Amino acid sequence: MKSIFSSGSSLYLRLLIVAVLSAALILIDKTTDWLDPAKRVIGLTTIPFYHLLDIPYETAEVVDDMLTSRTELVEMNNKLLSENIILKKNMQRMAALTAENIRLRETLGASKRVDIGHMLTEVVSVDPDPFVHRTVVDLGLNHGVEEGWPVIDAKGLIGQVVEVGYHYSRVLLITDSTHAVPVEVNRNGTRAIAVGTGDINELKLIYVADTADVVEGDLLITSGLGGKFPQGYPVARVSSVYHDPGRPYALVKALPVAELDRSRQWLILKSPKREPEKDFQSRQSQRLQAQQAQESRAQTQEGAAQ
Amino acid sequence: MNENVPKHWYLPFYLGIFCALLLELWPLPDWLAVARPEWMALLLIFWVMFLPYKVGVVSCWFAGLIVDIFKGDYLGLNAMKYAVIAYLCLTLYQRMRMFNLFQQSMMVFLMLGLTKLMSYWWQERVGSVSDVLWFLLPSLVSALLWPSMYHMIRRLNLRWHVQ
Repeated sequence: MKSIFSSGSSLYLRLLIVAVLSAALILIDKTTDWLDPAKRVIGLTTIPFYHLLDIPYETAEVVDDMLTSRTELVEMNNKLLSENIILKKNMQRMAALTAENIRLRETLGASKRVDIGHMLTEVVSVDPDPFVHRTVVDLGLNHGVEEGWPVIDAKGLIGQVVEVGYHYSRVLLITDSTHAVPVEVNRNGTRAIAVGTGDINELKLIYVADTADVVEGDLLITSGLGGKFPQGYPVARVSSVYHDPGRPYALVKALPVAELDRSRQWLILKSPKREPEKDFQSRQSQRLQAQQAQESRAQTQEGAAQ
Repeated sequence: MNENVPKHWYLPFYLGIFCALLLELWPLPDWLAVARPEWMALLLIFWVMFLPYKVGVVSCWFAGLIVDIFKGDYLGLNAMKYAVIAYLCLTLYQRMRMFNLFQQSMMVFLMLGLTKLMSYWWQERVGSVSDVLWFLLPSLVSALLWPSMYHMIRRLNLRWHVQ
């Protein structure tokens, strides 16, 4: 007969097998995408769950909608109308400016700016761990979302898609401590890298030279280097610059301009896939062609003059 | 083996897992989320103590995998944690049953804190973690919640004739 203490060694063996298996799973999941299809299939079950958890918020929203008074609605409507007029005013010259920009870039032989498509998405869940800044949004593989696409809201950059399921995807926010985004100072083009700190209201710039021209209040925009984020989206505003003589670089902190913990409607940008290397080559060849064209034009002009 | 297994034990067990999952993912404000108790771990400790021949290392491992998928963590992170908790619990349950609730809470705190440190190390390997000691707070809160949790599941089990 078995004694109740006899399961010791088999228990230990079981733990060992399971521990090795989980270690292997963690490493495989971290370094490869072999597990992604399986995760996607099992992930299908998670979506109703997230919506279940979202019920309190949604009911609050519905109740809030029902209880809004007429005066409030009128007020909001007026506010939106005036906002709309201002936006339209800003848009009026947009078409002309875009055309002019394209013409100028063509004459310079610079690469064309690609028009970036977008998809409107809604946040359905936030990571339960307060130290991890990651959210779940309601678009996924079935809607054409791909890993690595940038996400913005009405005010600025939110983050990027890091995991894609069939009906959802996970977005890593720029303030997560594992996230970094190449930025430049809008005022003078000084380049830097904005790294998340784990604090939703703070980014820090790394490798900023002590003599670099970065001051409080500077707007940081994506620089487009690295090929992941398109150029020109606002990321953060510099909140403090500290020069410590004992350190090789300046300590620069910035406040994200996007409403990372408040907005729920986000845009996923359909980022055209491109490799920095190829892009560089195509730009070089374009530049070369433009140069040749210009030279030949000059020659014909010279010929005509003679 | 001579322990008689109650008939319908799996019903409250799976129901508990479902509730624990909900509570693990329930959206909380940041200042509260820092202290979010480890519901799933507490539940598993209870069931391993209650039915050590039915709920063991492997079932806890699977529960951990489910949590990993729902939380979007690297697959295996929570699974390993829960498996180690189950192992510790299985080696200690005969003693734990003799303890009073305060002593049990101390043991729960030790088990959760220890495994939390382990998973923290793993998290640091594969990603990055914040450098404050707050991550141990959930273990403390869970230990404080243990007595009430224990009584509650005990009561439910009695009512559903699972004993």
